[in-house]
Amino acid sequence: MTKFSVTTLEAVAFGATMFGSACINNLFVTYYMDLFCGVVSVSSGWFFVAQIIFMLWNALNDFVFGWFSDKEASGKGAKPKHHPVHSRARVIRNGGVLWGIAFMLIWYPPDASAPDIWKGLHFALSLCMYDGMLSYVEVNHSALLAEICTSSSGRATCNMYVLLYIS
Amino acid sequence: MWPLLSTYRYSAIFAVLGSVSSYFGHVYWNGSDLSSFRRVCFVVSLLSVASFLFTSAVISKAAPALEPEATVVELAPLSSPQTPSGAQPQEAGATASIRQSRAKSAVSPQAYADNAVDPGSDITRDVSTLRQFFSQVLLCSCVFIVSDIHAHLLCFRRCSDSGTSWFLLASNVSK
Repeated sequence: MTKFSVTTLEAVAFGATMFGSACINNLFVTYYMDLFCGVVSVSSGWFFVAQIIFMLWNALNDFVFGWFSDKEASGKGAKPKHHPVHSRARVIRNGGVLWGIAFMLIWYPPDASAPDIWKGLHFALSLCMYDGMLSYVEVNHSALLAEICTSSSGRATCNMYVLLYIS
Repeated sequence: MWPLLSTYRYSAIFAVLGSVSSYFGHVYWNGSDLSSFRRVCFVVSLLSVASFLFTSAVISKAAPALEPEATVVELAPLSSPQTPSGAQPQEAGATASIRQSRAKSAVSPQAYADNAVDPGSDITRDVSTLRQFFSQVLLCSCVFIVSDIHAHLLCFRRCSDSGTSWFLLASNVSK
């Protein structure tokens, strides 16, 4: 039977992604500046270079990942019985693991005595990788809502669990 | 056991856990030795990955239930006054059965295959070429970049002045 709405378990599962996102993101936004400015002591020049690279990447990756994931979910070249929800779920699974790895890599910076270029490159790359995986997972997670249920009450239930998890 | 509390309460408990991850980070943060902080990050990372896998597993399992449903619509017999002149009567007096495959889910695989519902339609139809798409991306990016530069410069100046990242924390929370 086709469902208009979602079960409680599905709504909870939908919101669970935001639990993971909130866990990681709270730590990241609180401590990444302390780490790179206080512990690693990235020079001002490299700080601005890395921030500009990060800003460019941050501005572009939502569009790029959105376009890419929609193309993948549209099933062109996929199996006939391919459902877009499978693609979204696969991206959340694989992207989530990569996101966790990217999060951990941030906390393994070069020594404070290392050359500035290594510290700056680590700063830029870890920011870009973290933000890329964040966008990759959350863009697909947002797109999933329209594909798992059609009723407004079902979508409201899903959104309620999302808000509960990120509050 | 699991059902002792409502799902709302379990969700609220997990919400608290998610929100206090930065508190545990604060407890174990030591700038001269990051090993204990890394352990906290590892646990948080594992929790997060587990939640992503949970989402993926449950949603994948639910996906077959989103397949389109076939419905049969019974039409009334065609009467002669409604038949167009010159047209052959089609199964006069009989009931025409029209089988319609109707996807009640928002998006079905068939709809994707037929391009009836294409998630990329905003791109492929509204913006006819890739060049137009990227020009729009660049335009939007410029707006974001200018606003981001302002915000980040402000943050960095405040952090440099005070030696702490409290302003950055406040700005991120307010976002």
